[in-house]
Amino acid sequence: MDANERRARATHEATQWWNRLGIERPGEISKADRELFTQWLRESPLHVAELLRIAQVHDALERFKLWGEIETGAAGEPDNVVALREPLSEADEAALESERAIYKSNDKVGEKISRSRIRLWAIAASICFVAVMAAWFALAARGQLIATELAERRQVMLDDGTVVQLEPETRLRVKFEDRNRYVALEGGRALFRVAKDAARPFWVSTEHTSVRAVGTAFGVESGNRGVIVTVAEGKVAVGRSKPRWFSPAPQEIAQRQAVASGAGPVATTESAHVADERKDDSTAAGAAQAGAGDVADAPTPEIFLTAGQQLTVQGPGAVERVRMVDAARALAWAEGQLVFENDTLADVVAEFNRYNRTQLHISDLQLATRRVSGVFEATDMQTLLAFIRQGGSEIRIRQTDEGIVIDSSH
Amino acid sequence: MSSPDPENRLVEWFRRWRTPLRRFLASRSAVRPADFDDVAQEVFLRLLRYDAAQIVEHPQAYLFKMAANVAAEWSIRSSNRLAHEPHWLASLATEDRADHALDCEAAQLEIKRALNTLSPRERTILKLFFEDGLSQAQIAQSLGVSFRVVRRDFEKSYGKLRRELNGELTRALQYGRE
Repeated sequence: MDANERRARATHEATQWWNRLGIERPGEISKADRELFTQWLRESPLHVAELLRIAQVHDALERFKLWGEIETGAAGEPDNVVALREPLSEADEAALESERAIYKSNDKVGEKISRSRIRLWAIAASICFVAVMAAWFALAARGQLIATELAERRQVMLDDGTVVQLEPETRLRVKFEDRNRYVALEGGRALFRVAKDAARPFWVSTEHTSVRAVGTAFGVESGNRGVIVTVAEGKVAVGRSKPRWFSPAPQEIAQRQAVASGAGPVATTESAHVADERKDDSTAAGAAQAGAGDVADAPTPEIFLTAGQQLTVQGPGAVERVRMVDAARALAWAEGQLVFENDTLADVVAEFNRYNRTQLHISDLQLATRRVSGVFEATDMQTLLAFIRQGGSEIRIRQTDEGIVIDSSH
Repeated sequence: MSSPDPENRLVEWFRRWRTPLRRFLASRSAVRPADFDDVAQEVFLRLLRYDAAQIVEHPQAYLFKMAANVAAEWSIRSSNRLAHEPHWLASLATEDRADHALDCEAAQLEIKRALNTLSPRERTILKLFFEDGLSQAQIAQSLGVSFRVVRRDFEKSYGKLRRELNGELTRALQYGRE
């Protein structure tokens, strides 16, 4: 990520903070928000600078005296191009209509002069409309993608104020609706500090597990070891259901709906959960998709987790149990630390490789299966290498063009 | 203009501390045009020096107070340094009200120009907020759009104005007014 992108992101986050702390929420700012804000400020001087700049923008607007000269009617301007990019809920549709009506009435004043221009705009606007709608439908079903690359960690704030910490090589899609907030974790891991909104539950879905939260902090990891949900604060509900919204491509939705409509009785049993985990997966998915968009009647039983609890779901059909964990330790990755407990060196190296550009390779199979326990800074490869070296005098570490190779001399 | 929202805390804090900050940023006597980046760097370091728990109590207050302190300290330093330079005295003597008025007008026009780069709806929303004193919720209601749309437009327009506004000009505006 180059400097411009970093700055643009900082600007965006600063506007969100300004809005959230200053304008949107009157009254007391919650301690959790203040903590997040402090943390954000202390992350980078860039954040401080951009917040000061946004403050200056606000200040300039407050001191602006020529509002009377600012055109807002926009007669003849193709404003609908901007407006249509918004997710079109019914309320927004209605709003758009009324907006258009307002602009239309403004047009009357200059009608004689600009009729031909309006016609031209109308054609242009309708072409844009079609294009934008097509793009919108293609995108809307999948939600907005947020992804990190190798060795990239990112913290983003979602529209509702939820803060997500994404670890390297993590992909998630975000789709917010009026009644629900959906996030699909397609891979990797992320820590969610969910903004409280009792009216809109927050769902995090992986391929076979979904987690529901109202206002809480929890981590979700999706990888080889299954899906691991760890709660740091508050309470979440983990369902074994195939999530109702898991980034399906539009054609997939159509297919699944077709399946669902052909399988009447299945649709009423809802999606698979603990009790009927042996149910055929694709049918369950179809049933789930049939009710897409409304998860209020989510299947029970869900497994409730509170602070300090962890649940591992290894796949549909796998038995899970709730474990008590030290949440700070289990979520240490969110602080840039990697904790290993009796993991193979191969796993450890794979984990490090996600956080670093310099890649480690183990060429000795025996070495790769050695068990390792310990806490490491994710970016401190030297300590890890020193640790590995202690494993025996036969261990050799070489720097090559492809990275660092670990092997043994016997 | 009075505050559009009496409970607008961040703005309130900013307002309380902005004068020294603004005076510094607008100061012509500074050795080189100091920027937010310089102030921010120093504020950032001070933020790190404090105990996080302490800052968490009033992060906004700390932020702007520190920024104001940094600005005030630096302008004292730079004016001391420049006090002996003859051209500084000369510029002090020739600085007159007309200059300020001109700067103010230029700044107003600059803001107007920047506002005109926004979409009509973004302009409408800002106008309703700053001129008519409506809250974001009231704006959403009066335009018949959802609250989230208003909030997003707000954020987008601040971001655009941040890129668009010419800092030099708007600083002059601020200095001339207080």
